[in-house]
Amino acid sequence: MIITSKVALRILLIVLAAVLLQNALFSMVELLGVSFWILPAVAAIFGLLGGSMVGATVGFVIGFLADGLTDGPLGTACLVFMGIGYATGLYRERGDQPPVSTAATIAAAATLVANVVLGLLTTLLGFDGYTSAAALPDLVIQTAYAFLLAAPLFILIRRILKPALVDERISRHRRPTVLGS
Amino acid sequence: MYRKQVRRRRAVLIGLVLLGFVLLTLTLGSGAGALGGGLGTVFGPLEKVVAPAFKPARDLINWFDETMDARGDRERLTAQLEEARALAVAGQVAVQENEQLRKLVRLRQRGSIPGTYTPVTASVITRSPTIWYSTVGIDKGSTDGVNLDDPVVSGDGLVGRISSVSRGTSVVTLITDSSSAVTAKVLPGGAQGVIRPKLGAPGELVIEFLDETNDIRPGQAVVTSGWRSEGLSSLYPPNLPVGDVKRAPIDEREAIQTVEMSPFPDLRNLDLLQVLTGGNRR
Repeated sequence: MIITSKVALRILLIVLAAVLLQNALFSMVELLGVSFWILPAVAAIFGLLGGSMVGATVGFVIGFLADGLTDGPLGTACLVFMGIGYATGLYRERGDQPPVSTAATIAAAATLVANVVLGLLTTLLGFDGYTSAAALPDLVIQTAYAFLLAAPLFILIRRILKPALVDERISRHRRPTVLGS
Repeated sequence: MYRKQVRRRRAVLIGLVLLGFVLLTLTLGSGAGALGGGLGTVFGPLEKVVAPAFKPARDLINWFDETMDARGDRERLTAQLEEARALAVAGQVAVQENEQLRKLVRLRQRGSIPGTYTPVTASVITRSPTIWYSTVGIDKGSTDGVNLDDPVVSGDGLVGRISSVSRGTSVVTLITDSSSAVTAKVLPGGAQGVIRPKLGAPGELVIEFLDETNDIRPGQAVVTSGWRSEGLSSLYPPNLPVGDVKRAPIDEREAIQTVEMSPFPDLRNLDLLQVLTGGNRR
């Protein structure tokens, strides 16, 4: 990803929109008794589109905003989302930009990992909260929601960041090869 | 150039990790604190604007969730209602059976059933399909000690006699059947006669061939007389309650020595009966 000031502004606006959407919409609704959680998926998508550094940085910022706005302990979500962004970025750097289905699967896996790691951190650090096997069905449902929402999110974010994506530039500037000329 | 880039990436990563741990350490146990407050101040107005805009979407998604919840609740409550209904019915049946059994016990305690008889309690399993209700089937038969012509009582009094016996079931011919005749006496006074079904009036009885009709009044009790003569005896033991006098017009009493009576047991709603097995009538 080629980061210019305009692209950085777009990234910032996407992050703010994601956090606002999470707080004002997805956290407020429940389906089958489970709410939607898009933030780990967004961190993973940034990693998949921009690589490890962009993924880690955006993940950190998303985590920071999420922690701050929910009055949670600052730092936990920062570290977890940063790890997710970094890991998915490393995956991206080893190959081409993944198709939408792979991106959705990775984002869903990121949601599951974020849930499990945050649950463990909550238990280990002694914050208010609970971690029990009873939450397992909720984890699975929330992961499924993340899978369903990740595909449109991935397409949308990729479209907004299109000018900055290296793959897109290469394909745009590629000339057809004329054999025998 | 590449090495420089790698070094910069490492530095950023390490810096972010360190910053994360510093934040975690600073705010451990105290929530987001001042930083959280600052973020809230910045995002608060934004959220206030955005939240109402998303309300229709929230309401729509929550409507689906609540509808699914309501469906689950409906199924659960329907199942609970069915269970409660079944329990209530079972309870009512138990209460009714208990009442009938108590009556049977009282009948025996009053001495209406001679000690020479062995009562066998049975449930009614079939009823005559005609409006005359002249027979009922019970779930006790010869293997339970039931024999042909054994008297059958309910908690209220005489019901009939066994007219057919198989190994596990029997048929009771009620005292309202056209083939039935029960020798009885009216109390007090002891006027004797024969109880027969009233023609054309199912469920009603008359006492015919009364030997004394002067002192009979409506409301007087009628019991079996249980006669015995020259090796023969009545099918029924003496003093089993049968019913009470309903009408005793003087002209019928004088002309044909007959009075109308009603049976004590409700012969259309019999559930628990006792067959008086044994005895000394044979």
